[in-house]
Amino acid sequence: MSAPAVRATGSAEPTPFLQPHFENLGAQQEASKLGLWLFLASEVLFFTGLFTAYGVYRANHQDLFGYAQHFLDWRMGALNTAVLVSSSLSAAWSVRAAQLGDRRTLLRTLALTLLLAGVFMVVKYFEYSHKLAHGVGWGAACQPDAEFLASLPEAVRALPVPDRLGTFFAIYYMMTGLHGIHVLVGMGLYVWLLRRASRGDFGPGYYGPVDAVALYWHLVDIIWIFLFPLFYLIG
Amino acid sequence: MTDPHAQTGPAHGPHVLSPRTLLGTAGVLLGLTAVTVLVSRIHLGEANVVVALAIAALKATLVALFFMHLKYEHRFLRVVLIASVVFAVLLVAFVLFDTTQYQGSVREHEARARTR
Repeated sequence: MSAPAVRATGSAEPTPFLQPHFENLGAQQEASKLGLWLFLASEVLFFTGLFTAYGVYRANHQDLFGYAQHFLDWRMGALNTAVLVSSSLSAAWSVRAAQLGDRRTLLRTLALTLLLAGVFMVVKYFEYSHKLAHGVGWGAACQPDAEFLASLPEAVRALPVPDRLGTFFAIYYMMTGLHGIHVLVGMGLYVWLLRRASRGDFGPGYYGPVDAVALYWHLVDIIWIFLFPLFYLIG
Repeated sequence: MTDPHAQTGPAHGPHVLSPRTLLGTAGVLLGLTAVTVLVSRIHLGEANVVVALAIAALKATLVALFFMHLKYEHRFLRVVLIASVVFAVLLVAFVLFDTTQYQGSVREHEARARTR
């Protein structure tokens, strides 16, 4: 286990985290970073399929998007944008703390990132449960009740409920739901990082996992940066 | 960039972001979020979509360059990201060209079928 680390030229101290097929931790870090960026590229393309569905449906049913936008509360979306941007800041700071070997700050920023991710999901839960309780589901299950319709702005209330409202919400739940699953996965990863960091695994010589999870987390933030205006703001 | 660690490139070990860069990036991102909300209140027609997407793209670029360290990384990682974005734009653009180009004739056909 320690033999390759002793042979290593790049890193000074032996470490249990160097895989045997890498010359040194620097090479290992560069390789894992490239692998992670390739994964992020595939994530971009994965979400692009959904953005395409959104674009096609919007291009063909512009009036529907103008109507359905009033079913979403932009304040909730803006709050969640601020929460995710702050969690991204905290995640980027955790990488800095690991690089500098500042364990106290590392633990604090990892916990803060996890906490803010939790806040995001709580806001999302309130949004989803409010809609579902009032019959705003997806597909044929989208039958908004009288109480929900009464809460809409007067100009919107006067309009008939469009037939295809359920398809808009199918796209909405699919895109925000998949994004939400990514947030939950990220929370799991931050719990794992917290455990490892409290064990003292990370430092200036070895912080690859902190960096990798932060990169993933920033991509989740970027996807929300696009989802927010597309669903909540432009009608 | 006054932080002594901020100057180290990939050749001399990892790049450490300074608190100023981190807080500045987050500040600009929050500011742009406020801008995109305010602009959406002004009715510009279809230009609203363009403005919203332009601001979102700018925010995404800031996250990638600073939070994701892309500004300080090896060029190849930038190639990976830009390639994926190019293909993403190609997919959306060509499918949208198709649907906007043919939708009119589909509607015509439907109308004719109905009167028949």
